[in-house]
Amino acid sequence: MEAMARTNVKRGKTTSLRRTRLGRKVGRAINSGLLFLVAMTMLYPFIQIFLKSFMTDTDIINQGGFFVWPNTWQIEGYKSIFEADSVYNVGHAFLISVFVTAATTIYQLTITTLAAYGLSKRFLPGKKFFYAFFIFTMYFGGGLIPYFILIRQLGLLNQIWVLIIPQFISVPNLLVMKSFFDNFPSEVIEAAKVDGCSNWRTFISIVLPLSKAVLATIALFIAVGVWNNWFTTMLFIQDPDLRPLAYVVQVIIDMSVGRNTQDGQTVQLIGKSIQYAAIIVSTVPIVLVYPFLQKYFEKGVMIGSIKG
Amino acid sequence: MKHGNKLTKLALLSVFLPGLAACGGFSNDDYGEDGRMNISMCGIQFDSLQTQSADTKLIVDYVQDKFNVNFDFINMPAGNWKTVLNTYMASGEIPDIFFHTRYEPAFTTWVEDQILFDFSEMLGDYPNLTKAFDRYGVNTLKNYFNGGLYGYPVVMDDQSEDAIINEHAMFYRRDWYQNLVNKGFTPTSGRALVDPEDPSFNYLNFYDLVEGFTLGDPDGNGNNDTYGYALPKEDGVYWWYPVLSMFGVVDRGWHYDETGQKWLPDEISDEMKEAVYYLADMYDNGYINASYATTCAFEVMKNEVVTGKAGMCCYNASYPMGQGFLTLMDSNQASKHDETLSECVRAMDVPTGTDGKKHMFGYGNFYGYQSINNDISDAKKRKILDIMEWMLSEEGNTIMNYGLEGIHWKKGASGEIVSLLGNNDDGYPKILYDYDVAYGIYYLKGLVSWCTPISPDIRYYDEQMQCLNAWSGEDELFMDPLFYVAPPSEYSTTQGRLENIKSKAFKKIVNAVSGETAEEKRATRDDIWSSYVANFQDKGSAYFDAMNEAAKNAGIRQ
Repeated sequence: MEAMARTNVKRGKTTSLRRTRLGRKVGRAINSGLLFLVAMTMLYPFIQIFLKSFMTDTDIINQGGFFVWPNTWQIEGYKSIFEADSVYNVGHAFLISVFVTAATTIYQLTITTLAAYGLSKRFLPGKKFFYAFFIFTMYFGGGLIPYFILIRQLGLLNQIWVLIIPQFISVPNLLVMKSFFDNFPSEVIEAAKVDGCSNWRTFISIVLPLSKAVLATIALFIAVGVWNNWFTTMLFIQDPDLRPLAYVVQVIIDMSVGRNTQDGQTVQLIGKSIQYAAIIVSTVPIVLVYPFLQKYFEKGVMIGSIKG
Repeated sequence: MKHGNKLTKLALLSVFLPGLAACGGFSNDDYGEDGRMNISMCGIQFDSLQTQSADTKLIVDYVQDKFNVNFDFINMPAGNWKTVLNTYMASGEIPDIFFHTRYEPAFTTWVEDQILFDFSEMLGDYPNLTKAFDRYGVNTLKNYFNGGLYGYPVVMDDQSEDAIINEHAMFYRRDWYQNLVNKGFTPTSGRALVDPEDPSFNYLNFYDLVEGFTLGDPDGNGNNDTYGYALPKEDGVYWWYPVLSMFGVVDRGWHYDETGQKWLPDEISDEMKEAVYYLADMYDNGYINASYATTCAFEVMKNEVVTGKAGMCCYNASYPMGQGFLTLMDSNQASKHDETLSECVRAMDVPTGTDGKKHMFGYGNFYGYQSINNDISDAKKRKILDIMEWMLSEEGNTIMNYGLEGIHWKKGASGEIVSLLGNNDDGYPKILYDYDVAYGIYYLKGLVSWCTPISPDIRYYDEQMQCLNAWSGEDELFMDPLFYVAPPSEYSTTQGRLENIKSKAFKKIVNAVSGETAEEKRATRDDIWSSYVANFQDKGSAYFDAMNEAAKNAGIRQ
């Protein structure tokens, strides 16, 4: 009897365990399903653009709604972008984009890091003024016309430097970085000083290596912003040899839209597949950077959200 | 501590150091180092003049050499051209010649600040330009431009001498109509279907046709999966004009009220109310797309017809846009149903309106204006006028339309132009403005004209011309009688506000779904209409008076 009771208890436990396991499995499956749906809402637009870049215009029109596979495949969109006599000159624009993105990222990251580190120090004379000065620019800007006049007076019109030099600093990035430096362990800095490091040496050899996460994150923010920026080029650069890729993509999309007879109306002139191919060509390079910075990025995005 | 101060100061000094100025920028000098005159030109999609194809370069160089000038092209992307233009103008970096549409609120400021050159100062020396201005009437244009000829109207169709044109068409499924006739479809009105290209086709027959396209299974697939008339969400209620025209009214138009002896906006007229209710009735019955007010973008609207969901839409018939639409219809519909293109889709004639006459809204035979910077030297102004005059001449017109003799064309046995451009991938002759030939020249020619010559050798020439000519002729096309009356600049905001009030109210009336019966819906619509008219009059009364005054000053009577 006792043995039976034990067996029943054992069975009960086993059933309960099985139920728990099953419950966990179901829970996981539901979670996975939900997460998959959430992920798809973000991924699907990109997937659809990718697929459409390989579709004919007729299919793009006819195969509307949700789809995961095109009826036909073609690479005409990519061919018209990359063909040798194409006026788009995507290869050259790509190099310009790489140069501008790399130069601006280094330049802005350097300035932002130095400014943030300075502002994180209590002994900085006029710290409140400088801080307010930066914050002020977040809320009040000079406006487009004064900015255009300034750029013209600086002689930067139609110069590649107009894409780099004015990208001096980003105040939101500065605040994120300042927050990180505010929480940087003072013991580490003091230990470095005890070991004979100058402030400069401490900053270069101790602080920066330990700030890779925030540096990588901010670098990525800057790079993505610069890579996608076509507006500055539209206003300030008229030389086709100085165009970055983002502007070329904008032109390609713009070229497929013609003016109609009345103010403000537009109609499509050329193929959609070229537009989608151009979007993919301009997006893929910057997307490819993410995996290399991911481990820093995951840590870095949390910076600023927790203040010690 | 000292080190700390140094480092932080260094860090912050680096932030406040002024940016390094580079040399360069656009040259404002009249002449370049090569002794040629520099002319800066600002226009929509000048990208194709900046990144010139080999053939574009040949022709641009030809024009530059001929006039001993160098062009600096400033590109205004189609989607952002106003931002670019207004930034350049407001910052004082005014191009020598630039495109605009006069609707910019800043236009009056430009005139007041004497930024714009008055063409009439030198027009006497340029017969071709004079002829171009005369098409619209010099005095009419002067009135429109606040006293001077401050812009050259860029012609849209230089094959037509008419001042009013319409380059849209109501494309309809001819095969669907034929199917309905063949199966003996009878509309609920009891009337027989009338051929949309028959001169007797009227607004009631139009209603019957959209009903048939919705309820008569016109594609014969046994499903109730089609509807009559696709409308786009864009541009307020502008694209309603084919329907409004049947009632003799036009969006943003004016009519003379005999009783009150004054001009009143069409938007609050009884005819407009009838037209809006006519559309509302179609909406109630599902004859027009429910998405017209929300998601149906212009391109989506086109695709509704291309994919066989809708039976008709109003779309561009001008070349090459109309040709593009016809190509899609051929590949998506006609070829699938073993039909010729004209068996599948055609353009409807102007339906007879409620007053027994045929009216279709038209617009001035020009699109926007080229204005010259008044601050440049007289020599430069004359040089620009020389170039425009030449483009309007036979020689200039030939080069800008067909390219260079011996390279792009040669003379045939009887002196006609024989193209040397070869054929495209589809085996049809290329034209100069093809993307792989000299697309940019279309935009250079845009100094005087936006017209594209239509070769009889194109793929769908007959179909193209049928669409293009469906709504033509000044006897049927009409325009707002106060079109050339410049609204007082202080009322530009009022105009915008009224436009908003009207669009919202009209869509609300059409979409009004409260009420079970037709009578209840009618009552709801009447309420909305009454309150809209009161609001429109309240907000716009001062503007109406100002327009009446402006019309009186312009000498426009009933």
